[in-house]
Amino acid sequence: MFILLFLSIVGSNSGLKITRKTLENDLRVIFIEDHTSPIFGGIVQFDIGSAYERPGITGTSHLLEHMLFKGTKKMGTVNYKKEAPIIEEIHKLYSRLDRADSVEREKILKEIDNFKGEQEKYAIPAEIWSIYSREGGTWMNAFTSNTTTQYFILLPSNKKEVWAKIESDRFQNPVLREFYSERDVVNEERRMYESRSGSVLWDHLVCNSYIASPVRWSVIGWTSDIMNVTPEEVMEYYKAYYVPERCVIVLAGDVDPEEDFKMVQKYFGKWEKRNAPLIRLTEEPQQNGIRRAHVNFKASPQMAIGFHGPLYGEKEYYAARVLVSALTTGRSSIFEKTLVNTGMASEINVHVDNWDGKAKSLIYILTHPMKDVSFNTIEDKIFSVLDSLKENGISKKDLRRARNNFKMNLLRRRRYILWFAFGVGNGERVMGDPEFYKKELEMIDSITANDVMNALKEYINKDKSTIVTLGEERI
Amino acid sequence: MRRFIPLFIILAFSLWAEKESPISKDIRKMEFPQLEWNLPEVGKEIERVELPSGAILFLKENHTVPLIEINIYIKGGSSYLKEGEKATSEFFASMIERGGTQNFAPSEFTEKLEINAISFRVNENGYYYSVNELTSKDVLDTALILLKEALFHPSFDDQIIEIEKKKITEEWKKKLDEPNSLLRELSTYMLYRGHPEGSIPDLNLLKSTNQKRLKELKNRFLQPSNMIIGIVGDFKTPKMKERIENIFCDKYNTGAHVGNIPPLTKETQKKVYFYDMKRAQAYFNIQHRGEKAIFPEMFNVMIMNQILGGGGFTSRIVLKVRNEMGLAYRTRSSYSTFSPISGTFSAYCGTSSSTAHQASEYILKEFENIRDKKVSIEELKVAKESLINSTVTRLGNDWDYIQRLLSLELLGLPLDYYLSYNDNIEKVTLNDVLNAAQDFINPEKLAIVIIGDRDKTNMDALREQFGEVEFIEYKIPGL
Repeated sequence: MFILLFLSIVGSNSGLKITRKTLENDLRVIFIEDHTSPIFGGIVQFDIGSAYERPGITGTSHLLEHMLFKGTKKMGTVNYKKEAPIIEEIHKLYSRLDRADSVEREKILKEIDNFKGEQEKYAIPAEIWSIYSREGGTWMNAFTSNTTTQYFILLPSNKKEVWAKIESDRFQNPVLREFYSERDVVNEERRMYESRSGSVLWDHLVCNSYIASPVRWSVIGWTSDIMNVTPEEVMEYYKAYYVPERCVIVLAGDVDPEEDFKMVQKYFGKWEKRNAPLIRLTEEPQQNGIRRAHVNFKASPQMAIGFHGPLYGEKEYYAARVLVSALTTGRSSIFEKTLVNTGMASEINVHVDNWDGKAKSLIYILTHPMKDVSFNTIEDKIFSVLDSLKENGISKKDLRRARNNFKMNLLRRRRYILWFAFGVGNGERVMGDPEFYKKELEMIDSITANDVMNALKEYINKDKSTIVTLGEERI
Repeated sequence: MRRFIPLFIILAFSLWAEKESPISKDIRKMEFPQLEWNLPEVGKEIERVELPSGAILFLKENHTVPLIEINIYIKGGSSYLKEGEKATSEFFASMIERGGTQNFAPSEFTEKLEINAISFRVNENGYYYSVNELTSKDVLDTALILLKEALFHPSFDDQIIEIEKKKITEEWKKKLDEPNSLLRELSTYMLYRGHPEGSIPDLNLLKSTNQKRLKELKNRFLQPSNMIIGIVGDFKTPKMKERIENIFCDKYNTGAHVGNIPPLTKETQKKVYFYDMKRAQAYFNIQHRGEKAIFPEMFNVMIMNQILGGGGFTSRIVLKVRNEMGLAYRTRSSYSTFSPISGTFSAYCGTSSSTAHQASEYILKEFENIRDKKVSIEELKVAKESLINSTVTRLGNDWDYIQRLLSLELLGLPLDYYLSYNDNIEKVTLNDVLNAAQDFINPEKLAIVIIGDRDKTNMDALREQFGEVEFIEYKIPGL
């Protein structure tokens, strides 16, 4: 009942029409029509993220994302012709810094300062931000993950052409200005994550759970890579992967697929198709045996337990999602009742990260044991709850609760067009179907208690788990 | 209804930027169709009624999705309680949320919510409690029954009392682990030391809180006459009004005195307040108390802050500290005026301990600049345009907008605040911005609260900027 109602709401009956069009250069454009407010969300998604990097240039996808806010030959500058040689001189000077002794270094830094002073005559810092702000843009930002990089904004719907003009130029003609100060900014971002116990625990969980798959290194990259990557390497990366065939544009809200497609053709039609190089992502081998790690960190104890799960899109993946929901969603969930209400943990959460299907998913448990509860005790309790679930099976109530909550989450997102549009774009980018969320709902609805049990038995096994603890000492 | 005309039509072309790229120039020349949109008005698209019980109700129909969201703001919270009762107040909120009711045991209550995918949250926000319930239209009856039970018939189950006390204790332990959440607590503590708003939670008081105390708090705060309710979603206004009137009825008014927030104590003096924590980054707030919401100066302050550090990447602090110097990933300034207690002016930055003194120096320099000299015409123009032209993208979502109205009602501010917002922003002049900076940023009061690695921080430089260094601790009694 709920699913039928839901599908009619988010589907065409609600006036929310989804249209997919493709340019000659293979750039895919998805339109989601919702005319309730004169606003539109513009999202540019690239099928590229940190998993496509290699050791030595980790963090490049993310650094590039930052750099693409720095302007182009026609944006962020009053005169690129005059600015370009100065940028070039600054690059050259920085490349000499590494090999310079302290005296030489001081001299070079002084020269750099002089050139930066010269560049100030031409450069207009943060101009993309400034234009978007004055035109009424909000939510302007971007993010990078292991498998995708996405740029987004919400604008009044009479400003669609502003968006097209800026975004088409930004992705076709970027200039890596202010490269070195931005590299420092990214390094500060890295320090920010290093200061947070949760981020440190996550990084250690992932790099211990995957020994071969490139999802194992963090999106932000290693410090030495961030601080040594060159503008040439970043540009090379951009040229290889920022190509129209790896890009999906989503225009959602008060949009007109026919008229707005003409606008997209006008601005993005000349973007040259470049045939991105074949990327073979190393497949993670089967894990044979438990892996353990401990991170010394001055914070309350935390534990993470990870398991390789099914690939995104497979039916088993949705069985795992239902399992996760039954285990952890809400106060009547299995773990809440058995660990939190019994005073063993202050918090326990279970999630699945699907890496867009580019690697085996990661099903993981995060918990904060209560004071005086040791890591061994909580670990034993978690596995004993899971073993007992394997014996007794999942209840119909748990199944229904999990399904309803899954659907409700999608419906919640529907209230905010930009957030809904991310899911639609991801459907196209990853599965080649902008309405893949509907299939996901059907899939979730078709999952039986047996499916959940099979997923539990297949994937949630202690001898194939990775257990990472964090705290001042391993208690 | 008011129509918002994009500012660029109003402003003269003579104001164009001194430095502008070819694309920006092209965009300036573009002509855009006028936006057909009106901000919903109270009394027109949004109904506001005072119920016989004294509760204030806002209703806004929105039929885009079959969802109904109920937000309730309840005057109360730690600012109305004794010093140290912050955790007790949080505990009270969590017990409303999950402590069970006279007709539903805690487990039954949560199962009913979760099987129907109804979300129900109660938060403590210092001077008010907020209740949020989001439900699918088809289970609205259940959602309303549970809401009524939780607010007016809570049972405060003994077993849940013990569980929640332990959880809240652990939550506070976790807050001390994370530098940013600790900075928030420390900053409030330094601003309002000696006042309930800034007091350190006393977990011994939490431990001694029993069912009787919770019932006292319930009788004091959970009265319809003390509530502001906002409902958005897929319903018909007359029917919903009737249902809400029946639930939030006079019989639940206990007559207990809600009380007042005590007057502020003396502000802490200008100093370096240093908390030693060895992490990869240091975090600080340069701050002093500000004015409460005041008209019309608050619009001048808003524009001033937008230019100083509140306007994202184009604001001065971000341009200098992040963009040019590469010292921080996150830095900004804020001047909050929406509070019944006091406003706050602060500039935040996360940077390495070894560069904290440099970042703070640049920020202080920007304070000085904005107080010394008028901002440029271009800066004023971009700040105004940003705020005015983004009205539809900021306020165009009913689900968010209704909560803004609840805040206005709670603080006793005019309900047409957002309707007259653009006119007020347009009126701000270069002189107004300068006066706002001079009147509302006081260098003699600015203190820095910093969490960093003592061994890597240049204390002498900080001392030079802010005076004496006081090493502070944040010890929670009973933890």
